[in-house]
Amino acid sequence: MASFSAGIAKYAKKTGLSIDNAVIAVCAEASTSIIKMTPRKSGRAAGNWFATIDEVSSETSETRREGEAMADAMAKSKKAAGHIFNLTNNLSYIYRLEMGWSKQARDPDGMVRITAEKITNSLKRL
Amino acid sequence: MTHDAILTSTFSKLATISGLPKIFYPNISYTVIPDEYMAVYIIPAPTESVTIDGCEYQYGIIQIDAVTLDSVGAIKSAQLAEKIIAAFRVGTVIATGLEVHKPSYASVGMNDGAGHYKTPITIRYQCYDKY
Repeated sequence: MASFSAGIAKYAKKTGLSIDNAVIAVCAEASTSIIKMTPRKSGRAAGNWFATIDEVSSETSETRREGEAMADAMAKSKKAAGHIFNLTNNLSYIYRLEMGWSKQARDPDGMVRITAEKITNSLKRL
Repeated sequence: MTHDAILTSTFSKLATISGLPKIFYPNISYTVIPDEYMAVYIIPAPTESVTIDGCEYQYGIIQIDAVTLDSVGAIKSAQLAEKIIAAFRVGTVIATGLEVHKPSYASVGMNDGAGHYKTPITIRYQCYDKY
């Protein structure tokens, strides 16, 4: 966690952003990546990412679309500095999308793990 | 390093690990599914741009599933997972320029809906290609 914080500080210094704005940028980038990488056969899975501050969402939705999830994550990212930013998906099959599921011959999508790699590696390499 | 080189190197490394059941490689169909097997997936992240030292930086995830029959408990699957984790520790050089750069780990096991139970193992790799 210390190296992640150091990465945020380096990112702020390099971009000229304040630490708060660097946190906002990283939360927004991570959310965008995860939502965009989520497979969208029906759009339900991508639309069920819920961003929250200092609490974990227990919500699910049948009608929420990817665009709404993205807009909400962007809005919540702006409040993330100094808080705990969570991005949660409570659909029962979200773990199977991440890890793969042989019943439907579904290879793993790895959207959360790849995003974590992308963000931490980018910060480390600044 | 090309994607096919990453695949080839990973498959070669897996072949050196003793005590594993049959390994299922990506995009190969199998008519007979054994009670126990390993399944391999390579999930590359988008390639980073060429860096100041003239290297193209690539990274991603190798996911290996340790699969056993459903309803026989989780221990066998966890034991197979441990063999993989032991073979892909941090710093393991899979091939020249391709290495494991963070600790490998097993995630929560799950029923796959097809009569088997799997424990997914995540191996995080990175590679540099000197231009």
